[in-house]
Amino acid sequence: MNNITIGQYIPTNSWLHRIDPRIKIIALVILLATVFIVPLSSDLLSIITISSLMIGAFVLTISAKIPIGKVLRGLRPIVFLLTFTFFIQLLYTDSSVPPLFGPFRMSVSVVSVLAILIFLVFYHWSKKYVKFRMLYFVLAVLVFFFIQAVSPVFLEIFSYQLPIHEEGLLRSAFIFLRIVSIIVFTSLLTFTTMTTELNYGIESLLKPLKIIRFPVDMIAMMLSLTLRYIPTLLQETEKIMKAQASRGVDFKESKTKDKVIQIVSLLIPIFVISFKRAEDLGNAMEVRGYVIGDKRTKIDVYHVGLADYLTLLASVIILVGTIMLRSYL
Amino acid sequence: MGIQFNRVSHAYKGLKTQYRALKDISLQIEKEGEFVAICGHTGSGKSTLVQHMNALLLPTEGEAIVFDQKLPPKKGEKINFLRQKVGLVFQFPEYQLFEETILKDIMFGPKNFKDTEKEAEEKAKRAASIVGIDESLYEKSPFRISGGQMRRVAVAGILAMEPAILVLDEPTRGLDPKGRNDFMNIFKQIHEEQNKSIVIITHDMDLIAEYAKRVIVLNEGKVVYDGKKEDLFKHENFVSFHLELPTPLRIIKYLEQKLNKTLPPQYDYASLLKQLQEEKHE
Repeated sequence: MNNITIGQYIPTNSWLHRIDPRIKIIALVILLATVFIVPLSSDLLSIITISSLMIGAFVLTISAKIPIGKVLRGLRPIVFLLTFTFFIQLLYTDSSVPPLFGPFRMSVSVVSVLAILIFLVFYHWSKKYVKFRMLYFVLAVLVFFFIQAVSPVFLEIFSYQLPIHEEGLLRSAFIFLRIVSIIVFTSLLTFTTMTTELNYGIESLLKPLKIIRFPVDMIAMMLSLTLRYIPTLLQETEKIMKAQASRGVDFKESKTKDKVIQIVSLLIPIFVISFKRAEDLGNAMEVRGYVIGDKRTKIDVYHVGLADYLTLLASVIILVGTIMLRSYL
Repeated sequence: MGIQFNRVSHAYKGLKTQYRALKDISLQIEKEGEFVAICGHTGSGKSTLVQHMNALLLPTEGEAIVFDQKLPPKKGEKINFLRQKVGLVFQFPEYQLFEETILKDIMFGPKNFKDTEKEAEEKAKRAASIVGIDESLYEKSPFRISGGQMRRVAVAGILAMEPAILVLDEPTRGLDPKGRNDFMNIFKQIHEEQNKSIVIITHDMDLIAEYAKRVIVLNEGKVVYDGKKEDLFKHENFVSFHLELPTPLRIIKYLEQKLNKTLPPQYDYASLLKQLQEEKHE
């Protein structure tokens, strides 16, 4: 239960941690915009731009004293997406240009289908023992194509040509770099900003919406309470899980048929507890004088300092520079 | 042999650090005829200790043997059956209720251990009558009764599994004095009529003095006392356990001081009263 991490703040107290949360959010938006402005093409210039953005993201990570391993682990959930887009882009075909490699003759035959099936079973069995699962998955997809390319033409169902173009390779590399830099930039925000700070930043940035009667402070309060209660509810869930396990619920060894009632036995108590907690919290807040929509003062008041302005300026320069470069493309 | 701990340690893993909640614990609890109270400071490892008894937590060092099953188990060994053998009632067990009716909720445990609907119902009704849940409540929703009754239903849910050893983690917490005594009498009755071993965590020295036969005192994850309750209160290092003397014993001590004579120790109010009446006649 404890391995669920949301808003995983890493307290290294670097310069990036001390930047005003509002500035950090704005800078993130600007940098993300920059990443998207670089046009998707196989042009050398845009590849260089996007790689320097990615390198910049990693330099930022190092300067914020965030371990690179943590950032890379953040990429894990999107490995599937990355691999998928990489291969889709690889299949890009422009028949007017001769391909860089191949074209390979891919054969889908009884033999290759069988080989792939055997490989899949092997993959599922062996992935438990592999340490770098991300790489292993990419490798598995490669093998999937490799089997089709080398399998003997015997009992063939159909075949197709797979040419690998220089352009396709470059484009897939580009997409890869783009997604990685987006993830790194965004995770940098959550790594260096506490949820309370983030909440403050969002609240402060949304303030102009008050003019159209959008309940900004209410939303912000809801957000911060929700974030605050995630660990508490996880703890309660663990307790209930243990209590039901003592009544013979076996969350590991049982069949799918019994799983439904087991999940119900977990959900209903958690529901009841969260309602009770919410009610208690509401009372506790009201007793201490909280009135919805009233003007409130803050313990921490943020001031935008020199470092904040410089950060903002730097990110704007990067954005403008990228736009200027774009006109050369 | 019911439960046996051989140099068991348990460490909770933090992000970087380890917190050793139990250190080198060795003890035995027979499966019949024991009434054991476990006490100690908050954070002394009481709850961690009892969760080892039905294999919710596994020793990180050392070995526990519960009903001939070695813990931690070998790979592929199933340990779920231990939860039927050792019934564990958690703190505030009323939060674990979830079924539509009280009877169904009590039946949940036995049904998980492959009892048929009919057997489960019989067991549930028996358990309900032990804890004093009236037949008229069977079809009511468990969320529409008072907190004290919810706790009775939750305890019945464990009793219905007919465990050989009953383990309770602060079952009287948050109850009024009458509810507390009612619950303790239920456990005493189970202990006396069925000769089942009962393990109970409590801070209440009065309850320990009145009901328990044997006391285990934990301090910072170590067993500092394990023995008869009568010996505990006479123990020379009693002060170092950070415990208080039970009220009847304190009254006796006070009287001994005032009257300047030795009196036999008393552990519950009824026998204290008897003693005082005898003193009066003299």
